[in-house]
Amino acid sequence: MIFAVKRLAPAAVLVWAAFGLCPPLAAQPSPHAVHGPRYGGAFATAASDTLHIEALWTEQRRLRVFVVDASGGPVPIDQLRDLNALVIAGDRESPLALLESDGYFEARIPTLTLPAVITMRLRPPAAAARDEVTFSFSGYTLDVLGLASASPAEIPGTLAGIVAALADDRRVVRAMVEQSEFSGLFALEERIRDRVLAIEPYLEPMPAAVRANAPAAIALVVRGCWLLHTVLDYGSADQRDAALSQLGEALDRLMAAVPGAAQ
Amino acid sequence: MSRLLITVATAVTTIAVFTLHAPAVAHRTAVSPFTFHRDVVPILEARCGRCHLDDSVSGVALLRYPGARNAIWPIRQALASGHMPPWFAEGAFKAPAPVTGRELNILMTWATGGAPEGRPVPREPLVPARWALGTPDLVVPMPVAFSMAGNQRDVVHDVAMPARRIAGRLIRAVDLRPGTPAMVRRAEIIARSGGREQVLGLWQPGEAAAPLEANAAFRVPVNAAVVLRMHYRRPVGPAISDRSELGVYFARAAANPITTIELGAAAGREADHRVDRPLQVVAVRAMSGPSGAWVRLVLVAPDGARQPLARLEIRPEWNRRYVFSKPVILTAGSRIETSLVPSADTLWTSLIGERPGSADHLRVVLEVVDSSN
Repeated sequence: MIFAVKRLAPAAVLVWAAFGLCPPLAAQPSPHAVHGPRYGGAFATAASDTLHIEALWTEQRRLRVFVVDASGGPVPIDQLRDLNALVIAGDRESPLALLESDGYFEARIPTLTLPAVITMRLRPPAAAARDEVTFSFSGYTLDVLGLASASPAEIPGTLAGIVAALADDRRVVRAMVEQSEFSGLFALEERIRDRVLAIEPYLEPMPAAVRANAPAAIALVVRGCWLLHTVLDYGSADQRDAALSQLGEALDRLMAAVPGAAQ
Repeated sequence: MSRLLITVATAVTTIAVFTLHAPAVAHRTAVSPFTFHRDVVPILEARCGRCHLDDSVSGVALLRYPGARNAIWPIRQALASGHMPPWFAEGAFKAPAPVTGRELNILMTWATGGAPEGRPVPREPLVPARWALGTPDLVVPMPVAFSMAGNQRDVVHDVAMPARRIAGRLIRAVDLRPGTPAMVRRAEIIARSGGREQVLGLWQPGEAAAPLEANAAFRVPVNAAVVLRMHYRRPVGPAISDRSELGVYFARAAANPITTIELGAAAGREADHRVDRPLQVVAVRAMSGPSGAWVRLVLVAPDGARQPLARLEIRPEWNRRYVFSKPVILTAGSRIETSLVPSADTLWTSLIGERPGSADHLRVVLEVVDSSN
């Protein structure tokens, strides 16, 4: 897949690039060290290359646009608010709404069919020029990270329920490793993190041995989640596999440390 | 009429389907809800503030926003890989309070989510304790200052300390107060006698000296020289000098003298050390070995019962002494099984940009007292 970015003024620039994989992680990612989609969408740079844009065209006919800085880091929400963004599909122009709680822009274009050609116009507040980025989708974006299907983590109302949910998550991790199937990883690590942190309030009345061991086991799972998150952002496939194994071991340890754990 | 109703119903249903389809949630950390001054500083002060002060040898001042903002990638690396806070052991040790899961989550969410500053919160400046164990019985300054200039970056410098008031005494703890914290990376406090060196203490920034259990103490030989082995690291900038002070805490005359047991093992093989008399283990330190590898110590009782004693990760830059919360009893006839697990997992090394160590000689030291008396 290819895409084009056309800067309308002061000079027209045409940039072509191919989708790529994250480079191996070694040192601090410099600006533009990571050029490629995170969610399986179409990737482009804009605003004098200070922004990275990824657009997804989902089966629900929603254009979802993530805007990050040149190092792949998030753009503060107030700066996102100030971006003047809209999309053009066919002869229709639609605003691109910022969903603040989710940190991305979205536009619904129910009448647009495949192949879909969508132009996004973007104007940072201080910029004199307006960027125009055209994305061409021959199919719907594959949901490689479970973006469309992800929902907020359900936190059961009892410790046994939380532990059972985490045991399910452990099985998902094991299945991912066994089947080399890694869709929905960001959503999975966030869900595990939310659930494991929800255990803390239940520890107070626990026996001393549990209170002594469980916090370290919880911290280990949280660290495992963030390690996975970090290598998903900047790492290689090998690092992803190693981080997943480490997260699985941390979950095993948590199951051993918290009573009522489902095996 | 009925056709109109069907049309209206279809339209309403269509609108409802599009309108009620809730936006999905994923990768919610696009922007951190936690801010530096309100949420991050209290954790950094409690967990990292001993070392990451302004002008500290770490070179990374985290308690002010510009320094922390510039360090968000190292923060992510160090926390996710477990490199920081620097505690590389598992066992029943006297340990500083660890970073909790919730604290870790706040720090990582902030560092990953745009590192927002937030509104400053008035706060008392952090003042590190002068001596962690209270005023020492004896404070001995380095005889002369040590200076670094020019191209010097890392220097190991042995300082012969006046030993007249230390030699022949029982010492329960030693501590160091760096004269110029910005250049003192770590230090070993050594008693040297008859060609042998006995480590009395290991010091590194942020580490409080931990008192030993079992009334244990080092007996410094009468003719011993006391050496401060200073590991200096010069920060970028003009010439700099240091004159640190050694703090000594004497033990009572009835204290139990410490002896040491040296353990070693080759990668992938187990080594045994047989205990021939009842002992109590008060501390353990991994002095050398392949960086990133793990040492596993298992206590095997005479009846074959196995009990994990400690698991230490070898980090040559972070040699430290792990003091047991309670002495570990070794009965005569028991064994200590030592195994070395090489760093097959290169995740942390790749995250922090280091290579796993090769085949450096493994040397683990147990500090024990005789309990047969």
